[in-house]
Amino acid sequence: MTIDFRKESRIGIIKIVGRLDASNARELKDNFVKYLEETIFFIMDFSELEFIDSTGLGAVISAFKHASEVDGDVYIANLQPKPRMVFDITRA
Amino acid sequence: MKCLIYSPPEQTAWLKDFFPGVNPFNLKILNKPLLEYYIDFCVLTGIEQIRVVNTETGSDLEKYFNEGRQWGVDISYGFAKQEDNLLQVLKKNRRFCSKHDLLIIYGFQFIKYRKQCSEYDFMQSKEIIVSQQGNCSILHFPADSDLLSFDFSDIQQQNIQQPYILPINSIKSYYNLNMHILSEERDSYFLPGYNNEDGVYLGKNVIDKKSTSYTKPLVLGNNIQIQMNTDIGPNVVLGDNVIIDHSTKIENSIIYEYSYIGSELEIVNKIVFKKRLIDPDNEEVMQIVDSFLVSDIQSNLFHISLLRFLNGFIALIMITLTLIPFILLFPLCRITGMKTSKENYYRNKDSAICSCISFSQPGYSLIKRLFYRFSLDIFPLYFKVIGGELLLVGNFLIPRRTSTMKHLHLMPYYQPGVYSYPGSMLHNEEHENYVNDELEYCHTRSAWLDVKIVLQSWIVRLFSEWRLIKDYLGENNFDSN
Repeated sequence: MTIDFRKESRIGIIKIVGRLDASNARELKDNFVKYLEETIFFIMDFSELEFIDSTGLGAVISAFKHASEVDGDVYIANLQPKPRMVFDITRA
Repeated sequence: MKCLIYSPPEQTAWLKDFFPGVNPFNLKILNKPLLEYYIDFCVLTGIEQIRVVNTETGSDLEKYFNEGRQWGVDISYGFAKQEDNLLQVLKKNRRFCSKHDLLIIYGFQFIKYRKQCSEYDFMQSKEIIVSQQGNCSILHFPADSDLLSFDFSDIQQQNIQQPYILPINSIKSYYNLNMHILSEERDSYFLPGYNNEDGVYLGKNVIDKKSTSYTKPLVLGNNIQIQMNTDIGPNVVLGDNVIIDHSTKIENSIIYEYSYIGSELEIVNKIVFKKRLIDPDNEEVMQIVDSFLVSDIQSNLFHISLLRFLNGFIALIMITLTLIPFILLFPLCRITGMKTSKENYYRNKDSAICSCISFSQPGYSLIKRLFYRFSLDIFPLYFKVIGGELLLVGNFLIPRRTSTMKHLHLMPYYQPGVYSYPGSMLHNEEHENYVNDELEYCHTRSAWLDVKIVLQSWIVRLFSEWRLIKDYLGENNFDSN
């Protein structure tokens, strides 16, 4: 998995490429805390997210939680059909 | 009258992505194998002898249908090569096809019939009659027809009102077929289960809670457990031996046999096949690695638990035996340049992974050679055996790389172990005989073979030429020659 972060005006765009699972969810969590120092509004670009498991989902939800704690927000964009199924069945 | 059933492999190739290991004729439609619908139709129309021609191993099929006595017909089985066309199949089965009226069910299809109707005009016809839809067809040949001179490449479509053909050529068509029969035409077929209420087919030993809510139509198989606060239906098919955990909603979905659905989930417009979550609308399939969400139910839990316990126990003995050499040699190796890193390995065919410590750049010193000769590089793996992530003896532990993924698909199953058959001959995943070794192990696996593998692995490590061990461990693990 690779995480690309860029900032466009006040919005932080986090692009996740590859698999977001138990082996690398921690990386997203840790990085997100750093991104929060730069902005509080984010778009997670999942256009190249191939796979997500429950731990990965937990990392995304954790990002939502951290952002909302500082009155920020996280939006998900370009969710692909395969990972979407995990969001669908878990009612996330 | 006789019936020959044949479906060329190209018409069922799509199934492998969604239902691997399932014989196409065993594909369940409302919890009933497709072939059983064909048999029902044959019985209705007075056909007594059926020949099923398979292009793959049909042992499960033959085990289930046997000789067909349960249905009052005589079922025999034939085998065709992958590339055989219908004419070649008929030539191979010419004895079966001669002397009687013959019905040929050709292609992967569902035959729509009505159980209330047993007379079909085309069965009485003295002409060759063909009903065709796409690349599927039903052909009726009177007894005196010259089958082998019939031009199958130019089949003329005839108008036959009933039955008619519905090709099953995609996961979407399969899903739609199930939903259509369940909601619209369930009365036309013999469906499994008790049916004392319209739209509800109930199997044996279905256990639920008072808080379970059902909305028909539904087909529930045998031995199902449904936990509290679940909403099942409408348009739901639950296969045999399914467990639905609490507070889960299932709607317009097919849950295949031996599946577990976790708690507080919402399965809508989906197919679940063991660990596979399938969206028939966009034809996507997702492997679920979290066993608490969706997983397959392991049969024979006692056997598996016993095996895990035994593996863990032997691993503990191995740790005890190699602990002192490891404590003595590992620090010395570290001082002389050995590095450790985490490597991801495949855990099963679903690409689940486990991370293990691997050792690299050991050089050539005597200490480092001893480290490998005493198999101390696998010392950390014993803990994975105790943790239940690996077997002590199993398939070769394949590092997770794009180039190694292909090996998983070649094996009938993949259960990696610390020791392996290829490993006992110092063959790694890049060795030319690797796949053959693994296939041989998969087919001849036994407790005695496992013991021999452990012993042989130790012996070859201790006494083989260093060059062979070096090749086995991989050139890139060494910083110098």
